[in-house]
Amino acid sequence: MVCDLNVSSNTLMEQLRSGALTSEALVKESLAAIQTRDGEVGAFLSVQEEEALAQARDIDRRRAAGEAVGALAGLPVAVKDNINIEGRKTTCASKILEQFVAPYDATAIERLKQADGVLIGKTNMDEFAMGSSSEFSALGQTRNPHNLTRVPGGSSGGSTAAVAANMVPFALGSSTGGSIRQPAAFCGVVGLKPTYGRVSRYGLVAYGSSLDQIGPVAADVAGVARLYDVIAGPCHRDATSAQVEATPSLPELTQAISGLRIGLPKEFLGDAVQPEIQVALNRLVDLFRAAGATIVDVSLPHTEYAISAYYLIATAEAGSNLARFDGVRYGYRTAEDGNLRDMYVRSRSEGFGMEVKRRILLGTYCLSSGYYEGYYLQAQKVRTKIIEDFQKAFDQVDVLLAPTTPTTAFEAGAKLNDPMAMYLADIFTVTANLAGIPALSLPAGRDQAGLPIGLQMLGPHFSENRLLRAAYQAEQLLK
Amino acid sequence: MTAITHETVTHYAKLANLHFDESETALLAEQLGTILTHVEKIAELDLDDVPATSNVLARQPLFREDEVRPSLGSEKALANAPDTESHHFLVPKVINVK
Repeated sequence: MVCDLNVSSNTLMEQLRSGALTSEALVKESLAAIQTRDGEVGAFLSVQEEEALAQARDIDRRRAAGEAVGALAGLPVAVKDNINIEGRKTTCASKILEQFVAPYDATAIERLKQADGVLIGKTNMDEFAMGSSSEFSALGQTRNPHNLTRVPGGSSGGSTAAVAANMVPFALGSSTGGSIRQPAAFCGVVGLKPTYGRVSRYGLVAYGSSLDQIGPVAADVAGVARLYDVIAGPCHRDATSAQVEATPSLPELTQAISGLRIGLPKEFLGDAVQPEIQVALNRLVDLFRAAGATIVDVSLPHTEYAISAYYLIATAEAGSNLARFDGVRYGYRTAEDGNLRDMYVRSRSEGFGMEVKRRILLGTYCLSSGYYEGYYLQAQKVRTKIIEDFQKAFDQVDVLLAPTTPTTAFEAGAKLNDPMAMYLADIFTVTANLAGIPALSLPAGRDQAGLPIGLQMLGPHFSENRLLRAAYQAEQLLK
Repeated sequence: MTAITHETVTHYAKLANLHFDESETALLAEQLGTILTHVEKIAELDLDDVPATSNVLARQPLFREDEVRPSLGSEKALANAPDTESHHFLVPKVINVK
């Protein structure tokens, strides 16, 4: 049969279970969609056609034989190219890792494989996940499937574009300051950044280690819940993995939360927000209120300091993490002759792109003697205040609702030469990363130019299941 | 406005094992100045008595027994290296260099 990737992953799963659809047919459809659309969208850096088909046929055979199959059995998944799949390249969209072949599976990938997700390819991103438009990739250009003159957002822009263009039902992204929610908003798909420590970082190339999380992307909330259930949970290989069992979110997803209390943080509203996004937010608030939810105005007073604290902490951690790329153990090495230090400097200067170098330089500066207290330490204190702000808000409400981004997808090239303007694209997303709380973006209509609008919901640590239920309710109300 | 000089860029580039040409240095001096001017906003908060965050989750760190477990092995660990020789990473000569 001809299958349609533009249906819910629930429907695809039912069709696979009933035998109305085979995984092979689904994977072929996915590959055909990539073939047709990816020339202009540029979501993928690599596609593993043969391996994906072989994996799909094996799953079909096992299912037909009545053998046990996993929770994702037969569904194609795209993976951001900073997550290791053993034997395949992990480039981080960087020249310095262009030839790097992952020697082991990330824990999230190990779990996807156990769940029989079909790994179809690796997606484009801003180099080392540093950017908000995917334009800082050294290996390819990704455009927004809804309008090819616009950026898909970043840094997980390849993953969100692949889902938005119906090339795959699922993708994995990663978020350090908004790199799942912001591109999900720009591309009109759902993306979840889980609680810090909820999904193992083992096998995710480190950028800002105290902020990084892997998270799911899908066309709808049910898809995100399905993928989240597979990858969440403790891992002994990641020392920052939270030792808290994750209970599956999918079984209770459709049960509306009675007496849901929703907080509207005033710092996320106002003149900086594109009017149509404000209208979309008001509409959802009205729908929730009519459905019986309580709406409460709340304040997160340190929000205005969040971008500053975020870029100080993230670049400091990046400067330290990226010191490992020196042309010795892996990655690009300069062809020039010279002593050891020349080799380090040339390999790094030739291998890293300008945005990565800019962040390493900033991180080195703010960690250096004489500046450490004023920059890095002060930023970590601001972080404490941001965490307290959220705790106070969650004493009053179950979830917070806010715009994901101040604007819809911007024009390609618009912020490329203005780093500070690019950094401000993350203004509404960085607080959740700084506080380590889970946050999800879901589509809520379009602006006058036809570009998707994203709204985000945020919850306390480890509240993913409730957050997903609230988001599912929002999705139903918006239909 | 925080002014960043060419010398400052060159100094921190050296600490970070990076090299920039003249025009990159000029551009970075300007951009870092702009970024630092923005992020210095956090200085206006009086946070002397506030503890710095070291972990976003108020939980005990994860401990485990210090025991030998399987790891990559030298073959896999060396597979991505630009230059190797008999189970070692090869780098330019570092002793008796003239």
